Amino acid sequence: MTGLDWAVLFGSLAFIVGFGVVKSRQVRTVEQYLQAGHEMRWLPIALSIMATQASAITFLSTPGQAYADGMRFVQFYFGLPVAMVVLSITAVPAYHRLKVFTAYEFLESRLDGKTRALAALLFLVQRGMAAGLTIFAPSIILSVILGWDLNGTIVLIGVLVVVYTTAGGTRAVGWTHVHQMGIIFLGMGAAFVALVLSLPPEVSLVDALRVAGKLGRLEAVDFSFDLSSRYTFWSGLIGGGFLAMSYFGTDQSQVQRYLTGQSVAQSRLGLLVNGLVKVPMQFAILLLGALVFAFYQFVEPPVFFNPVAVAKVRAAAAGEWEAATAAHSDAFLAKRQRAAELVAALRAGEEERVAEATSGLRAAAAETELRRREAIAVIQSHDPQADPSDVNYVFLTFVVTYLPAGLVGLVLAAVFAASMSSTAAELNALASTTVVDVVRRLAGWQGSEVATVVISRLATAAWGALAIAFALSASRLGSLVEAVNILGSLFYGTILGIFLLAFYFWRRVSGTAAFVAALLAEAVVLACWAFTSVPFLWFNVLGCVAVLVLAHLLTPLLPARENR
Amino acid sequence: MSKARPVLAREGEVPPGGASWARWYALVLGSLAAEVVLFYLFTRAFS
Repeated sequence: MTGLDWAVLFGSLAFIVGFGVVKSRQVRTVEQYLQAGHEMRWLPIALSIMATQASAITFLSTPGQAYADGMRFVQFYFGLPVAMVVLSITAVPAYHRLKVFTAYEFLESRLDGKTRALAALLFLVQRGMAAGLTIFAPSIILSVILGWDLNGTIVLIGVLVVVYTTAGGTRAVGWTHVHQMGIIFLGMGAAFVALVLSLPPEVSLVDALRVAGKLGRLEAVDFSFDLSSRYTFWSGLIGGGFLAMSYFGTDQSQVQRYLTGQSVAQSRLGLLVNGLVKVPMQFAILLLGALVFAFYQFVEPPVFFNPVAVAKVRAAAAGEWEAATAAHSDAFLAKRQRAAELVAALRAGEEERVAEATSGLRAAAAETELRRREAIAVIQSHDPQADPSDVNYVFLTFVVTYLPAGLVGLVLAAVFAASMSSTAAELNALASTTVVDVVRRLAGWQGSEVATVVISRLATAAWGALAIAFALSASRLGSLVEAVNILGSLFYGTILGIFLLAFYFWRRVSGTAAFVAALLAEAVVLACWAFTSVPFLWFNVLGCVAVLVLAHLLTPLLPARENR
Repeated sequence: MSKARPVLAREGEVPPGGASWARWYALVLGSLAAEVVLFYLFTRAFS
């Protein structure tokens, strides 16, 4: 990193934190602290929704995913625009009409207090751990690629977020999101242009796309109804739709964003703009990864993109590693020759020659991948704990190796902005739920306006400290981190089912039946996850349908609803 | 805790620009359909 990169990075961070702190000076009431005084219009709401969903991992792992697996992941987002329309019609007016501070308050008004408490507690557990991972995940990648101290990076990201989120609450979070998305768009756009300009002079953008396409990296849509395939049009539209409805309609970190709207119309429009922008945005990020893949067909890539793992194996078995990398290098040179032949054939437009060159390139690519696998086997033979996947490191390796001075700092600023934006929304939502649903409702505390703002600030700081502590210990938790990540994704279907009962079936089901149905549905989802190989997106559908059906079946057997 | 929400719950208001909500919903869903078709053509063109 050059001095210019450091200046761009720290200049961006200082601007974001400074802006957030300035915004906090206007916060005096609970409504200002938890709902930004309902001052937001549709564009800041849309940007805030996008910034909340886009964590640093979105920008680090997604291009790597396209590099390794192609662009099929874009289908995961096909259900999102549909969900935005459904929520604009249903959730937005309902939340506004009932004047709720959290999504879970709504459950009590329609079902009962214990169902509200169950949903709020599920959220606190899930999001509390997720907030730690949101800080930990980019920190580990930044520390591996740039050689930064892991704990120092975690503390830096965590403290910066806690400062302005605690001081300014939802108002500071919402307005800093606008600038964070600006930095993210700028960083990703600059990376895209720099990547195209970095292609070898003899390879045009169209050539690069054609080579990536022939090697299966541009397959964006798969209409097959294959349950064993994780991402298809159908799993994305149906499973992804249920997931998006649950995430945007019931997760306080998102609900809080559009509850800041000046009116139903502004909140609704914020969601709809998100529905318009999200799919093309994810497509562009994946295309970035596919182009990095094309770039590395003409420029030799590292055998393995995790430099820490490579340094370890070099220290333990230098000879064995050098032999493995030499074999990979030979295979790459043959592949590069085949890629050049394919480009020439495509330019000539001769179909037979193109078919022959494609087949030659695919064979050479398979050979290179085989050599890479052998090299990874060497790494694992000397370090059985080493992760064989390096997709998270692909994009950042390209950035720090090939982007010019200044742009590296800008892309890193975008990564920091993404990490801070999603963490800030999580802490803000955790604090709101703690104060509104736990301290005030469950504990029965009724303080003054000033005291409630103080408690909200303390809750934000406490959740921030917990998230930093969890992130600091995450590297020692090993596989538990992965388990937490997976388990988090298993709750959304059940929570969506509870909310659908509250929206549409609350006159037909009892609160107790809804509560028991939610517990049973969660058990069914967890059993399916443990004992079947169904892709996880379908659990959202399963959990939701199970709650709806079980609540209706149990209502005649359980007491009539109370506390309406 | 303040419950004053002076500017909220104007559910009947039209979206900025004056178009109906149905048009906005059609725009979002129509864009999705167009994107799926474009992605499909993109897949076919480069594979």
